[in-house]
Amino acid sequence: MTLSDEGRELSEQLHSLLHDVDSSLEDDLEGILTWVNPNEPGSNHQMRPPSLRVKSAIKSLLNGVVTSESFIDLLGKYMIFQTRKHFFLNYQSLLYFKDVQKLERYYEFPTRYVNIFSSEEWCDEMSGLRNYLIRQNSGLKNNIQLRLEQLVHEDDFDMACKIYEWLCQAEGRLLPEILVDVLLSKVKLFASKNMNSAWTQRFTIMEAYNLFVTNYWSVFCRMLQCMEDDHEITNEIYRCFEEEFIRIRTSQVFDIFVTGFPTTKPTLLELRSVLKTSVKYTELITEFLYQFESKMLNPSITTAEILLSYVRAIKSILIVDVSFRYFQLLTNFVRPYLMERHDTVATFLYAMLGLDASDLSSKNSTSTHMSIASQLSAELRGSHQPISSSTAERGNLPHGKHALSMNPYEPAYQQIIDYYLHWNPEPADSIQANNDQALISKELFDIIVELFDSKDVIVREFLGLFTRKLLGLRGYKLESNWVQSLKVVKKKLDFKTYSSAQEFSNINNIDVMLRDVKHSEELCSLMHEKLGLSDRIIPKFVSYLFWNAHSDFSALPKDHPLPKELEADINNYKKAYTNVKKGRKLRLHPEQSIVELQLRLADGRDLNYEVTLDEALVLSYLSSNGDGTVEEIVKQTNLDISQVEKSLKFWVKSSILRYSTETSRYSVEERQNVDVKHAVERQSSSEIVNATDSVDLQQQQFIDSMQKVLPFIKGMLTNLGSLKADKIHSFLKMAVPKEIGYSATPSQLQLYLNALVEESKLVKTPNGAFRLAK
Amino acid sequence: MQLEFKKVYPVFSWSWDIPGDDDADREIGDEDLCGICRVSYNGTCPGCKYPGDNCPLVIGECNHNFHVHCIQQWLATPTAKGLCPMCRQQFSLKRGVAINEGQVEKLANLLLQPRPAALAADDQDMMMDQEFAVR
Ligand SMILES: [Zn+2]
Ligand SMILES: [Zn+2]
Ligand SMILES: [Zn+2]
Repeated sequence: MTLSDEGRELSEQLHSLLHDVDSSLEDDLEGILTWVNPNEPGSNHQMRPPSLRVKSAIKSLLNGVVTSESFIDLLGKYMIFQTRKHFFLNYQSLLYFKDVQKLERYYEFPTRYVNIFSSEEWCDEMSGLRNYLIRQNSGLKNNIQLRLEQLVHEDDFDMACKIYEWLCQAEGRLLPEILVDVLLSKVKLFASKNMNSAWTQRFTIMEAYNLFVTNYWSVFCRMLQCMEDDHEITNEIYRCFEEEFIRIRTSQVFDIFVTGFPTTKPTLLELRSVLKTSVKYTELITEFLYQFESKMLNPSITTAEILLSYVRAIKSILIVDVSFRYFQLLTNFVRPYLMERHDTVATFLYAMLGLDASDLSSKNSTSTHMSIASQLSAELRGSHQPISSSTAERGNLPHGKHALSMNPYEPAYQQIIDYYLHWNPEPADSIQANNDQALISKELFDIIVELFDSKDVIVREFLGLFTRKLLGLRGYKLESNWVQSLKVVKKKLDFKTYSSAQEFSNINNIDVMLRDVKHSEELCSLMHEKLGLSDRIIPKFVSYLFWNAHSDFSALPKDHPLPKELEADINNYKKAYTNVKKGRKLRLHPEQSIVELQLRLADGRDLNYEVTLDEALVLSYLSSNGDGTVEEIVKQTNLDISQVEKSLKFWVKSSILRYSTETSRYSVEERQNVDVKHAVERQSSSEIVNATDSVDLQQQQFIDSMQKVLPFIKGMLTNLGSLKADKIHSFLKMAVPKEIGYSATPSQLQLYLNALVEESKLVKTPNGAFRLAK
Repeated sequence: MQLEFKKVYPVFSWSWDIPGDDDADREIGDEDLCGICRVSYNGTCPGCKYPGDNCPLVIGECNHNFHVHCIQQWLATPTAKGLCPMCRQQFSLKRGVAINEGQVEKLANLLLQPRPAALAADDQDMMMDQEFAVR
C-alpha cells in the first residue's frame, strides 16, 4: 500500500464513520481534513486561525454528540499520518535549527484547534521525528551544534538552552560531550579576549578564570546538570585557561621576548609558572627562533638592533626557563649570523661596557643607530635591576640578599658594576624559590661572550678601542666609565686563565699604556712648570711596542718638516725628554697627534678646527706655499700619499682648500663666495648635459634612479662588510620597497657599482666583492 | 691664510738611543733584540712588566746590548765568568754613552744582584689607581 493509498483509506474510514451518524456533516469533515493537512500548503491552515466555517465544523464534529471515540482516534491517526508523510518528504531539506523550529510550529499549529492529543502524545510524536531527523540529517546536526556554540559565544544563553534541550530530546539523553566542547571553545574565546594584550599583568590566568566562573559557571552548571562545586570540571576549565595562555603567548613570543620587553616581564613570569613540560618549552623556543629569524636576521637590520633583540631575548628566556637549558639554542642560532658582521664585537663592547655612544661615532652612524646603540647599552646595564620590585604586585617575591639596592650617593653605574662583579650564582633550588633577580643577572656577560669564537676576539677589539681612546685623550684623564670598563674586562676576561703568552701580553699592554699616560702627565707638568716649556703642548710619551693594537707605530721613522714656531717647541720637548730620560730619544707621530688649529682667511673668517697633525701639516704647507700638487705635498711633508690624500679630501670638503682640475693643484680657498661657486657648478653641469649624446643621457638617468637605492646598498655593506654584485642584486630585490623601486638587471647594477668605485664611494676587493670606502 | 696652532697634543714614541745605530740605515726589526731574551730593546726582559725606567738597556764595551736584568742574571751564573754571552769578551759597560749613564754607578751592584724575582713584585695595578679617574 502506498502512502497516498493509506491517506485515502483513513479519509474514507472517517467519512464512512460519519456517514453512519450524520451524512450532512461530511462537508465539514472534508474541510477539517484539508485544514489540518500539512501536505496541502495551498488550502490548509497556513498558520492562521481557522475560518468561522472550519471553526464551527471543528466544534460540531469534536464536541458534538455525534463524535465517538473511534472517530477521534481515527482523526488523530489521520493527522499523525499526514504529519509524518510531510516530514519524510521534507526532512532532508532542513538545514538550520530555525527551519526545524518553523516546521515544528507548522505541525503543531492545527493541534491547538483540533485539540485531540494529550501533550505527552504529541511530544512523543515530535521526539520520534526529531530523533529520526538528527540521525539521518548529519548536515543539520552539525549546523545545530555550530549554532549552539555561536550562541554561547554571543552570551545568548536562553536560546542556547533551547537548542541544547532540543538536542537532548532528539538524542533521548543528556549530551555532556557536546556541552563540554562548547564550554571549552567558550573558554578559548574568553581567554583570547582577556589575555591577548595583558602583558603587564602577572596573574592573567587566575583573573580570566575567576571572571569566567563568575559570569558563566552557573549557567553551564544548569545545562550540564552538575553541582556548582564540581571541582573536576572547574579544574579542567582552569587547565584549559593555562593551555590557552601558553598557546597565545607562544604565538606572541617575539613581541613578549623582544618588542615589549621589559614591560612584558610580568607575563614572562607567569609563563614560567605554567610551562611545565619540555615539549612546551621547545615549542616556545622554536616559535621564537622562527619569528626571530624572519624579523631580525636580514641584511637591512643593523648589528646593534640584532644584538639588542638578542640580549632582550636572552633575558626573557632566562626569566622563562629556570633550568638554563634553552638560551643556548638561541646563542647557537644567532652566532653564525652575527659573526658574519664585522662590527659585532665593537658594538657589543660599547654597549656591554656602557661606553659613551659618542665614543663609537663612526662616520656612517645615523641617529637611529645611536638610539639603538644606547638602548642596547641600557639593556645591558639595566640587567642588574631587580625585576621583582616593579612587577610582583602580589608581593610574594621579596628581594633576595643579592638584589641590588641602589645607594643614592654613589653613581649608578658604579654600583651596578660592583654588583656585577661580586655576584655569584645561587644554588638552583633557591633560585627557583623566589629570586628573580638572580635569574636575570646570571652571568649575562658570559652568556653573551659565548657568542664570540673566543674571548681573545673581544680582548683584541677592546684593546683597539682602548688604544684609540687613550691616544685621543686631550689631557691625561680617562673618564671613569672607561676605568670601570677596564675593571670589567680585566675581571671578566681574566687573563690569568689564558694559556697563550700572546693573549697575556695583550692584557698586560693595557697596564703599560696606562702607565705611559700617567708618566706623560708627570713629565708634562715637570716640563711646563720646572723647565718652562710652552704649555700649548700637551705631550704623550708612549712605549710604542705596547701600543700596537690598531695603530701603526712601526713604520719607518721619518722626519716631517714642521712650521718653524712649532718645530722649535717640539724640539724643546724632545731635548727635555732626553735630558730627563737618559739614553732615550723621541719620535713624533703626526697621524696620532691632535692639534687645535685657528685659521684666519683673507675674507676675515676665523675658523677653529681640531684635526690630526698630518692634516694640519698638509694645510700648513699649502698656506705658506700658495698651492701644490699631491706629489709636491708628499715630497715636502714627507707624509705617506694616503695620509696626504685623506687630508686634502678633508680640507676640500671643509671648503678650506680648492682643487683645480686644469692644473691638478690644490690651493687655499681664501674667500667664501657661495653665489659664484654655485654658478660655476651650475654652468659646468649644464655643459655636461649639452655635451652628452642620448645614450649617455640614458646612462645618467639610470644612475639617478639608482641614487634612491644607494642607501640600501650602503646599509647592507655597513652591516655585512663586503658583498659581491649578485648578492647585492638579490638583496636589493628583496629589500627595496615597491614605491622606491628597484628594476635594474645584474649587469646594470654591476655598472652602477663600478661607477661608485670610481667616485670612491665603494672599494672593490681583490675577489670582486664591494665594500664601503673607509 | 694665517694658521695658528692653538693647542698641540703630540704623540711621541720613545726608544733607546743607541749610538751609531742611525735610524736611517737600519732596517725594521733587524738587530734590535736583546741577545739573551730575544725581546726588543724597547720591550722588557721576561721578568718585567713595564719597559723603560723599570727595565733599562745597557750597552757593552763590545757593542752588544742587553736588558740590564738579562745581562745581570747571565753574569750571575758561574759559567758566565764575566764574559759577554755574544762575543765571549769580558763584559763591561761602555763609557760615555747616555744609556749607560744611570747604570755606571750602580754597575758594581748590578753585576751582583739577581734580577727581580717575579712579575708580581712591581705589579702595581694601574687600573685601581683612583687618581686616574675623573668625573
Ligand atoms: Zn733581554
Ligand atoms: Zn727587566
Ligand atoms: Zn759582546
